[in-house]
Amino acid sequence: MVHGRDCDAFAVLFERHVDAAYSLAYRICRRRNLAEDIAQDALLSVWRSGSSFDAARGSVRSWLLGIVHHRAIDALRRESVRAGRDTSDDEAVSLLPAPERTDAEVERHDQSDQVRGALDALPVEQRMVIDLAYFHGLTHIQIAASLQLPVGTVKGRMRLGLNKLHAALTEPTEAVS
Amino acid sequence: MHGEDPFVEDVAAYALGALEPAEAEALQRHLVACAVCSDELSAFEAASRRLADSVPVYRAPSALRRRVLSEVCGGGRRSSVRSRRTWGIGVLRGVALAAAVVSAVVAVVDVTGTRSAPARVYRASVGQASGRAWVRVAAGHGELVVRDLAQPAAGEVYEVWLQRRHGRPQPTSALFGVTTRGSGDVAVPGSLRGVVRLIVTQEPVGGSRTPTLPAIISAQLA
Repeated sequence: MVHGRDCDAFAVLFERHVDAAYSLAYRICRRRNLAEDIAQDALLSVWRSGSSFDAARGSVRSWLLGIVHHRAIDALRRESVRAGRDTSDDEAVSLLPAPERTDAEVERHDQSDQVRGALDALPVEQRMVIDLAYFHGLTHIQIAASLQLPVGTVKGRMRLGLNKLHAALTEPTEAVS
Repeated sequence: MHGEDPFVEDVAAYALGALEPAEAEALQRHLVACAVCSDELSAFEAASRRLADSVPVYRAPSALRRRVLSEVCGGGRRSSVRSRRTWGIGVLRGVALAAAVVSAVVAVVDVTGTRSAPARVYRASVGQASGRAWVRVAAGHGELVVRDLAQPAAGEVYEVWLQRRHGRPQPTSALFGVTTRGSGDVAVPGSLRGVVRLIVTQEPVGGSRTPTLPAIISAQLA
């Protein structure tokens, strides 16, 4: 539909995912204006290159959020915004939680709870390296330096953490205990 | 044997985007010939993609909606989503800037104007000479916002704990520092349903299993 340059179809996709795209960008770069730019670029790239979407590799949502993630991390590294990762009070309090309008959004909320639960179940040292890599854009070498750990330890924790996360998210009945 | 594969420890880091460029290129070449690593990468990438789902979802600014839909659908198109209620922002901003009321709910504001649960803002007490903190809770999830807070001591981080009625504070994955200006916005992991108190302590890097008291920040949520 987006591939076919269908404006209405894009508008549906947009309304369904724009809040998540913006929120992920904001979570990573912590700047509203930059998050807006990243979400806008990602959404427009979906419009322009919808043909590159491969349904076998996941949902449209995960594809879009993957684009947002890559762009946000690139921006983080390129502009070194980490040093100025700050928000004014005005900025912090003017973020409004997105309403849950549809059953699909309520379901996504449940999925979000599931991921948070799976993350909470990880040992803190594994959670930390995953968080630093995914949300802060740090390489394993940078993480090792900041935590004063051998790089092999950092990579090992990433591997263990992702293994457990994958198991928890694909075998929820076993992960709940 | 796969256990001796020199690339085996790189796959997870690659899935998280945490390899150096040269390492990533070397692994990509290896993946062409190694089905075991390729399968493992698929699983790790699937898991890492789900990390985006852990982020609290905020409403995107109206300007973003207008710009994108205008570019795609032309100037005449308007988003079907109603515009943000600016009075809600003003009220919430006023709440944030209000004089400190220690450990008290300072406001209950329906910031969305929708059927969803209203956001609540709880002012927290800060056990330092400087610093302000509050917790915003919406739809069972919270965000801790701190301002003017001192940096944690060298080798230490701030850790968020959640305490339920009749229970001890439980550690969360939220470990954080603050900017040079003492600011930080921290998504509180998990649901806050049933949580009566949120506290923040200073712990060694990596976090602790039991809190080092007294708490730096304490917010009574129920």
